[in-house]
Amino acid sequence: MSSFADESIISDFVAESREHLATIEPDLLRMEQEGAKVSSEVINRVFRAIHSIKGGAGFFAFEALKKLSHAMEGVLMQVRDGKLKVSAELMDVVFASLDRLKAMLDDIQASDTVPYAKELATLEAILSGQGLIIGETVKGREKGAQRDFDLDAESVRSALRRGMNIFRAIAFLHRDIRDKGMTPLAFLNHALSVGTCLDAFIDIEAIADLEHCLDQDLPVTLLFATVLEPDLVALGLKLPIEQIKVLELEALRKEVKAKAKGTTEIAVASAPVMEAAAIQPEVEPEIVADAEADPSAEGEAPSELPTSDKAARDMNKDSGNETLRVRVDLLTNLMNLAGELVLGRNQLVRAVTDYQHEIPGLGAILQNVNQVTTEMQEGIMQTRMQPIGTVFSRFPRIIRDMSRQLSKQIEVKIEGAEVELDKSIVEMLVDPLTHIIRNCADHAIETPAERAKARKDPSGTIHLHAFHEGGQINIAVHDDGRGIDAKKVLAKAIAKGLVTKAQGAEMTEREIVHLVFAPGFSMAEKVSEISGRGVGMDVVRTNVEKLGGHVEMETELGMGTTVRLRLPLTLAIIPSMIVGITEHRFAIPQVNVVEFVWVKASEVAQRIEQVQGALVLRLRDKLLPLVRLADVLGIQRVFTDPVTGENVPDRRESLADRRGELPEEPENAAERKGDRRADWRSDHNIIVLRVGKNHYGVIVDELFDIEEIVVKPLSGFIQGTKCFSGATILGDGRVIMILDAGGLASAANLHFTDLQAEELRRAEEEKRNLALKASRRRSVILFEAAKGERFTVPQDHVLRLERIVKSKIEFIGDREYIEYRGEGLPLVRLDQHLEVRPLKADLEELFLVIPKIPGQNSTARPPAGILISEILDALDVEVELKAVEFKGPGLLGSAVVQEHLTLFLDPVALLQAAGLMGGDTE
Amino acid sequence: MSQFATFNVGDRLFGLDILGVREIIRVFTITPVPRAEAHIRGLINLRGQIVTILDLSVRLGHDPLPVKDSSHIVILKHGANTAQGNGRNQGGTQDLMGLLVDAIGDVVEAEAALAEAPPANLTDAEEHFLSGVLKTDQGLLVLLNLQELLSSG
Repeated sequence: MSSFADESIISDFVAESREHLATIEPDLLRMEQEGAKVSSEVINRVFRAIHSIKGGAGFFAFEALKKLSHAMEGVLMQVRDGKLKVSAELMDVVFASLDRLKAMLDDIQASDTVPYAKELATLEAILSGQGLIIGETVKGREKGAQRDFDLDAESVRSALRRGMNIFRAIAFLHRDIRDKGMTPLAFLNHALSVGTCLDAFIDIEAIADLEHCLDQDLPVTLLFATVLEPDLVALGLKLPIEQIKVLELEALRKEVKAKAKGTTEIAVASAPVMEAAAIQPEVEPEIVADAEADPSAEGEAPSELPTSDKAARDMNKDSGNETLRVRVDLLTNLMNLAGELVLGRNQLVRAVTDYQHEIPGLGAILQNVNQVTTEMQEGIMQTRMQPIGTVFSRFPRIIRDMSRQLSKQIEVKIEGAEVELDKSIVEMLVDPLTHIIRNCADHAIETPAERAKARKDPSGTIHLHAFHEGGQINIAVHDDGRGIDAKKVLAKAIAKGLVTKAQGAEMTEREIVHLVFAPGFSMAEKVSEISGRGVGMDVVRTNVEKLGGHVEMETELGMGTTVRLRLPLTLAIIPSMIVGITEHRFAIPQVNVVEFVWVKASEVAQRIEQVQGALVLRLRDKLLPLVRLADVLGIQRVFTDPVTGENVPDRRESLADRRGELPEEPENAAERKGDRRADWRSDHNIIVLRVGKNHYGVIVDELFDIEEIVVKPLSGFIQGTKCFSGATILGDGRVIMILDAGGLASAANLHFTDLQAEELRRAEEEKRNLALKASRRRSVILFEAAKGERFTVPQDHVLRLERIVKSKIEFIGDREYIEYRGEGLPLVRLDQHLEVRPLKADLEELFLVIPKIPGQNSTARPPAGILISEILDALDVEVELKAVEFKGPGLLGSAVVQEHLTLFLDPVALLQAAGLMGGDTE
Repeated sequence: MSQFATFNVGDRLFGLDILGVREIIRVFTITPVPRAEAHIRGLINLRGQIVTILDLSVRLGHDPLPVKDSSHIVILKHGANTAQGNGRNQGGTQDLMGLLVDAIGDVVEAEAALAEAPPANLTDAEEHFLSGVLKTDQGLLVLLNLQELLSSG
């Protein structure tokens, strides 16, 4: 390690190199897929990336990194020149080397300790196996500095072939780089925009001793190839012309030739005394050592030159002007400030709204500030957005390795890689997505033989698709593998004790499939190297939920599985509902809110009850566990006394109202006033929250607006409370806490599984009850005989109801008749047969219930009519009849209907008892 | 010589190296944090940044401080000494902390090296959070161990 290179420059180099490696991975995969057909552009890109890593490594004297990248470069060059065929074996070692490079970059200071001998040996074996000279080094020795340049023959040759001059440029670290406000890396990058850097080193030996190393200027020597003339190079590099030397390449050329003849190493004096003398391009064919071996190289080289050069220039232009490397913490800070600005604007608007009419133009100014703030905030949010492709791009490689390891054929398709998400979300998605993808490859996709048997394409496909929907990001991972067998999942889940058999029987297929997200669930019969340790999908779900998202799964046996993630665009600003308990305010992120339920105080008794000591709300046939926010958070509940208007501590233990119904007519008006059930302030505001697939209700005192809040992290002191995910500052400047739906549920000890069992039990009971109710359900006609005595008859036992006038009643003996459809109809009075009071004698108008006799059609002559005083209603009742003590003929029983004791009659039995039924009559 | 910002909690005079103090403000609305430990007095909004306020009295094992006219909050320069980094908020603003105190005293100059070990008649909590005692013109100045004071858990 060179002592002068400070940390930040090296970390820049590492960051850049990592990026290089990340970008070439897809290119390498393409090379493998397309083999010989792959475009030279792709290979060149790979080559350039490795080359610049090598250059940097040499610059900073990271020996291992340099050697390995050098060997890789050699192999890639042969591939580029068509001397080496791309094979899976070749790519294996290239990928392995790539991983080594990554490992070295991960801890750059310890990069020399990363073992790479195996990869290096393989690479070199490939090179020497071809019997080519590439990869061996040409040593150019400089007299003055006594330092060898390391460069390979091929790059020299290709530079010469393009008509480039080769320069030795010396830049002094202090004078030429630091004093001009550049970093060594920036200088190197700048140099690369002017030409090709073949090698670079710092002359450490030039430092006399340690004490003087800081005062002394260090020369950086570049071996540099470009088409430019020396004076232009000096201008381009911003170096004094005397520090630029054109190398006399006659000697170099000889050396390259000599090498071709098998000499391994010759030191050639490329003396600094050499005068500037451009190498003539026409000598080029001579130095192509392997011209016979590869005749096409000659023909190709000139034609390629202009385009690739232009492309390179274009690329440099792009990277130079249109993007800028910015530190993440700077962006984070900016974003926080933007958040503050939004808050400040809100406060400002609030504060000056009242003066809008007094100060002319204030409204317009406010509007302007408003708009600019919003746009600025959006703009800054944009800077943190990263395409999801940065995560997706690693999967083709993972799948490639896995498919070789598992002997499967798997193809990865990526769609929507350009969809952007907040950087922090993108980072946190890496693990869950990797896990899903590994699962797909390991479990879902079958072996080619199995696939052939199932008449599927032997090569399986994993389809990654990201898209926007409703302000959220959707990521779907679809495979066309074997799908998930719900039966097997259920069997496993039962075996692991995650669900009981009875629960399983009630579950839908979808619910069963979602069991794979349960902690401790694993489908793998054996633990493989890749997956099957049972910490899988559970972690996926937890991670995604931590981001405020959801996971869902769809599967079709034999056809494949789709895992869907829904995620918010950003975490920093979230719309939240502001709720209040007494004087406290809290924010609940809207993604967690399912709905809002308002239970009127008078309905509490019917809708809220206790199950195993826990409050539950009946909500559309489901039991919703309830949590009183005040209780979970340990805030003293108060209620406003409706009479005095005072706030009094609320000591009620349970919400479930165990008192009876509200009395219809309260005996005492004052008492009624004191009953909180009648006061709107005792209504319950319940917010239904979502935690995974479970829902629960939170009872709060008040609901306010939905506000866009800026999430601020919590101090470590408070994170232990679990109930909060952060804090925020409201428009009025007050600090409030943001509730964490999951944390709240666990703090309240909610056990969703208990409740599910209870729900199941209730559903069954409900079913039974429904059947029972159906049997009890009656359509009746409600009537009154004597005042206050109520009766019903089943509607299907009634033919007609008639109104009659008392004077029309005629007597034969002590029997009463009335003319009905031209015939005499006998009348029955209830008091003649039952122990009930007689009808009032002074009624002028009476009613007749004319029963319908089963088996007779409606035109048949009815046997008799029952006299009553008033018809009250025709209605459906669900009652359980109770036997009456004064049981008489035709009396089925009694029940309370419309809050009155009512006798249920069977008219046919009554008429039989009266001796009026058809043939039975005397 | 070091300078110490002094303040009263109860009838005791406490001191903190002035280099560790960011600013001293008057008390305004403190949002309590339900379920937090007792010595967490709550949160305040300090010009857009959220500051966690410790109740020094509770931290030292006594009753909570009532907020009086003379009450102040000493905002500390250094954040809480917690290793927990919430993944979502990495690189965010510093974890700001403040101490709720009864009254603010003068800045006192004293030689830190002359500090004596805290007296033996202390509660466990006090022994933990105090680093020493200095004799000054204003009387005994009890020095706080910020590091311990700000380590959570």
